[in-house]
Amino acid sequence: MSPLLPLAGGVVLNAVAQIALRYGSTGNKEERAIPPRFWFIVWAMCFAVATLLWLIVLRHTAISYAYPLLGAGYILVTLLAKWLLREEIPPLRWASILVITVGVLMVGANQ
Amino acid sequence: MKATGEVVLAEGAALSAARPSSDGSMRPEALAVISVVLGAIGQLIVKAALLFWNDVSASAPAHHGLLLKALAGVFAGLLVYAGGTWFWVKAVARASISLLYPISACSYAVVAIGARSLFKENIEPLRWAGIAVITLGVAMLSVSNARGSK
Repeated sequence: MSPLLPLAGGVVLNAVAQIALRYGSTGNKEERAIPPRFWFIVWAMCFAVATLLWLIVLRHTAISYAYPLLGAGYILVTLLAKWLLREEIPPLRWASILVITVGVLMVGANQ
Repeated sequence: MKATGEVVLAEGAALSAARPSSDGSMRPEALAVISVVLGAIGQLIVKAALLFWNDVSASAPAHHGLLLKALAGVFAGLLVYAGGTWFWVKAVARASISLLYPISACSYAVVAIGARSLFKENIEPLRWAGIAVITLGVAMLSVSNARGSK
């Protein structure tokens, strides 16, 4: 099995964990009805499963290949921050995200 | 001579920032460097433990004692990694993330160098270039943070 599937799963869960942590610690206008404890539980569970997936990936994959691909987390967190948290992303940050995307694709091209 | 007093104060602050002071406080950059090194070492320990795990589980009679040792190695690596995160949190508490992101961006190169020397991983030029580009991108985030809101 390609390591990219559990790797992507881990990156997604990690990103969800970050957003949940943000909801839990600051609250959100639409999410106010949901108690912070819920978001901390979501964070902890996503974090735990993501760590487990990372161990599964690392067991059969070169760390010089898998570790840089975790940089994809920056891309996903930025997108989620814009869509879910309504954060304003300055142009230069989009440029940084584009550079990271190119780097991740370069590393991901050859296992 | 208020100005002189201010200069002395500033110099004192610079001095105390330059080296660990009596309360053990360190420069945030130093804390960030420690966090990068610990984080990379933690990941490499986890990888080494998983390689050992693969070796042990491949051998015909299951050796539970050795598997337990491998598992302990994985946890030890995760613990060292968590220690790195702890130093990162301390660094971020003392300086803006924009100052520290370029330091944390180096972790990709540190892990790659460790993987090459410890596990003899073959890293092609394209992968090195990709790692350099990712590092550049993460370092660029610090500039956009410095200029962006918050």
